[in-house]
Amino acid sequence: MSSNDKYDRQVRIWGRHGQEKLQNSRVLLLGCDPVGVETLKNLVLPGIGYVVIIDNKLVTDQDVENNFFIPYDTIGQSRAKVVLENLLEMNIDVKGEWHQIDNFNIDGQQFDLIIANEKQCLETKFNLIELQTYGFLGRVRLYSPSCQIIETKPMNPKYDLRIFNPFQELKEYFDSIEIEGDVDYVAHIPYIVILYKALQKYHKEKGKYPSTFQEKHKDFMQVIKSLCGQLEFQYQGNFYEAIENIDQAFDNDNWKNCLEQIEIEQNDGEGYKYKFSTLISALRQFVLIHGAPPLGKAFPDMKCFTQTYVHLKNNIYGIKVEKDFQIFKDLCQNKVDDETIRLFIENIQELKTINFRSIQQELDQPNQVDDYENDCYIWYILLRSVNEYYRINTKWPSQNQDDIQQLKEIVEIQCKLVGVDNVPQSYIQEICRYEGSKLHMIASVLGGMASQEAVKLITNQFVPINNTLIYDGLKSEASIFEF
Amino acid sequence: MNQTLKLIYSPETYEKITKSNILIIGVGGIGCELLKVLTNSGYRKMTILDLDTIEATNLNRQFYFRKEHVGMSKSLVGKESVMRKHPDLDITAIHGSIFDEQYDVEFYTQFDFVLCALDNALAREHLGRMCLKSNRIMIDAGTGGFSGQVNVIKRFLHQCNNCQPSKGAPQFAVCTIRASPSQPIHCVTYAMALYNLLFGPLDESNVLAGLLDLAQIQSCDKSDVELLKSLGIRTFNKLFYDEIKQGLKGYSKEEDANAINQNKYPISYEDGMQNHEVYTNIDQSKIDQEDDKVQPFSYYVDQFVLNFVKIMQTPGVGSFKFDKDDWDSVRFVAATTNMRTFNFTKKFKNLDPRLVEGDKMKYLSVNQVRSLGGKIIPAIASTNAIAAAIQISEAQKVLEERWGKLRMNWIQPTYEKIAPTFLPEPYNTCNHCSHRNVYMHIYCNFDTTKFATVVQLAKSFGLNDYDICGFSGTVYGLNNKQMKRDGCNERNYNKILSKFYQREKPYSNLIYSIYEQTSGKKYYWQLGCKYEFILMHRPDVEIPQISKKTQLEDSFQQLRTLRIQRHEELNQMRLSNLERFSF
Repeated sequence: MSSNDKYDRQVRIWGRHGQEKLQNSRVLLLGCDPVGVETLKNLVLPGIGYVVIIDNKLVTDQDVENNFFIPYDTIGQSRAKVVLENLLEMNIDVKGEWHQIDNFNIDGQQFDLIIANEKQCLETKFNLIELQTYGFLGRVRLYSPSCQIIETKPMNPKYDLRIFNPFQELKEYFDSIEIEGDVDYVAHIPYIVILYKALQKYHKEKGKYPSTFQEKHKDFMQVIKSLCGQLEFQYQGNFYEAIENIDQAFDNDNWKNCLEQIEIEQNDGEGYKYKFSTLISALRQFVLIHGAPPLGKAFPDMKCFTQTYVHLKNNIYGIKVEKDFQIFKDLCQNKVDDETIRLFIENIQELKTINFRSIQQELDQPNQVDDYENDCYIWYILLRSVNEYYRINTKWPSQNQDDIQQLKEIVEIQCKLVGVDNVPQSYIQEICRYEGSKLHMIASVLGGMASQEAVKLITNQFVPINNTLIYDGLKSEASIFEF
Repeated sequence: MNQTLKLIYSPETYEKITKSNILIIGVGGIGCELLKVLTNSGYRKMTILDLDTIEATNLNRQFYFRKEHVGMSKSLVGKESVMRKHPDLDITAIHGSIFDEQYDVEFYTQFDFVLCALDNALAREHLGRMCLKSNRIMIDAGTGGFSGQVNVIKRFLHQCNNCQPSKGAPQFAVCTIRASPSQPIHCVTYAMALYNLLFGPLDESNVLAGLLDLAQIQSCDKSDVELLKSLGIRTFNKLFYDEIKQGLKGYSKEEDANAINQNKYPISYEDGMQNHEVYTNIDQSKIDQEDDKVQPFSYYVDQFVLNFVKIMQTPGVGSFKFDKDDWDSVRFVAATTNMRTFNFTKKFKNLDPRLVEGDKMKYLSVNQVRSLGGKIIPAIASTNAIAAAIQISEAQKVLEERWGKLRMNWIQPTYEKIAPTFLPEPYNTCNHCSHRNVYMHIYCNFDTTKFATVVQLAKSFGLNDYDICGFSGTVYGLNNKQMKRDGCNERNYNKILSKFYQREKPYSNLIYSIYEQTSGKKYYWQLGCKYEFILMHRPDVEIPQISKKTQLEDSFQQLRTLRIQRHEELNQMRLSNLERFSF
């Protein structure tokens, strides 16, 4: 059995290059709560590189009950050791080490991801996922020092067809075509030409281009329909294609917003971060000169004559793509390999960067959210409160009156901090019922979600959540907040 | 005794959890996660059923299995692995197919609810129907990549998975496959059909039926390699040269009508072996796996004959079906696919570039063919973990009978990650779960009871005109002319129930659907209703009785809702009859 065979089903999602990143990564697990171990399980199975587990506790009865990777005959042994041994048994390709210590000195070590549970980790140098389960509740908190994604892999990728602002050759082509002639000819005019003509007609009639939703989707659509004239229904296929792809007609400025958001840190050296900032500064220069980003290769299928399609794809778009690529490549000054440049150009419409707030920032002052009705938001405030309670008392609040009273006082302070009046009494009662218990079921849901995000952070593909996910197991509902 | 769970759940719920009996169908990606969550959440008694054996590609997510388990039964190994950690659990493992008739309605009624972790639509639909018949709640889950869903089906309350027509494999027109392929999948479909035609059981519905003279192939001496090879070459020339050449003449037959405008390129075995061109514009040198590369044309020509001989020599030939994990079949199908691609596109260099992008025709590597033909869905452990845990969380609601809280849960790669929505209501016209369906479990002795009893029972419910359908079709039609003429009605009427079985005991359930016909209306669902009588064999029962386990309340409710269409007194009679027959 080759190791590639085993990973066949996942390589279909993140590709061989993603798998390679995964197999070369180092992950640190702080604490052996069920949720942390479940997350790590979902990373060991797909073949993460190296695992370091830090935990200072010994196995108890409770661990056996809610932690799948702790067998009943290991009570009294080091938890870190038992968990590591049982995890690695699942996948022989994964290596790792364990330490039964309290404080782990992270200095001088390199990690691709830290998974923290039980204790807070304020490290800001590495990707970090903080996890907590509390009764039916769960919390996932993501942090990344630099999150710049080229391969965002959106579910509905956009095409860059330059219908709104055609380049010279394309404009000449568009202008050379008239929507008239015999039926067969009109029925085979590509939809991009129809959209361009409709835009011109709209501009001629109204003196401006459609801008509001109403103008774009109603008035403009009427213009497209008017273009097909007396054409019989069965020959209107390309006009319907134009209406389906109506959004392609308008200026797509997603890349502009993205470019504005991205701050380039001038850092030298190598690696993904360096490449990304080189590419972004090259893109800025390119846009400055040409007014638009380099053209991507993706070209959708459309209803038209084969020779028309070939001409458009190869001679008009194709040549422009190659030209833009050469110019862009020169701007990169040999600092980036061709493959990455091509990947970057293909994804320019979807680039994404996230500046995560650090955990310390959240602790001091969480962002205010105007979503008071949301249960998950209330649970967030209460989770903060019980954590604060634990910090003071080193135990979780139980159902006795003193505990509830003390928790209430803490809740009031936390409410002020996040700018909420108060939380319903019943929620405080409910959270006191949990008394710090950790359910395997909730750990499993959270571990699944956390490991999905972990894969995103490690492979630099897909857009991770920003930055907190609260899971309410009573309703099986999740919400994402930026705190 | 699990302290955490006792703290969280009420004593009643905790007791229900420990006493519940669960059926898990499928011990694959989701199934493994289910077992893990169940055994760590206090559940003790469960039955697991799976047909499959363990494969290497399972190991990236199905963590109960190891490399050394490859080839072994999923359910048996699964049980063994769980028991090693929890020796005190009560687990029954079944290595079998849910289509097997021994898993009848009675089998399902012993469980509290059914967890479905299946990966194919056909089995899922079957399971859905069985759950409806046995009135079990089905908690279903499915995943693909980062996305997935979990939904619950409680009979008459939620839409069942038969409410909407199956979105199974897309169907292609026969002539598209046979005469005018325009997408790679058309060629792959052709190739798989050819494989099944050559090496599988006789199947009239095969799209290629009648294409080849099979008698010669089936009767040849399978130990003579040279003979097999020449037979392979003959078959090759027949398929990819003669047939294509013939099409070029432009017969007026329907399937050849398209051929006139088609450019077709016949290729003979001899010419093919000389053609070493690699038909692709993707740089093949960067691909390290041989099976991921598009190979020189002659490679596929050679592979066709090579695997033809190999498969012919495999014991059991004549009963094969294309299987994505049988590499001989994959290679044969890959070779055939590329021959077809040549037949309809020929040279890559002069090819319409539209034909090499996206869904358009192109030459494929072995793995691409395998992927297209085997309909492989990407799968990862993390999404399965989420789906399974949510299934258990829904199961909790089922045990506590909080019906209003049950939800359809969507797992998404981004946005909210988990989004619950309301479960849809049954379709009015659904043949299985709309209020026009009344299910009844009836105990009777199959050795002494006549089929007449079923007819009597139908009569007693006030039905005037009806058809009674068994598993294999209509067995009794009151006003059905053909049935009357053939004497079927009479013959079946006096038949002892056990005579409907071909084999001896144990008898599985007999299921009869009674379609009420309403004069003037063609379809029963427009006005009439459907009764489903599920007969269970009980040697000690003298007079047939309706089982209490049917949950009579349910049936009453269904009958009451029928009042909309029916006369009040008729319904009263039905209700009283229902009570009379039950105990």
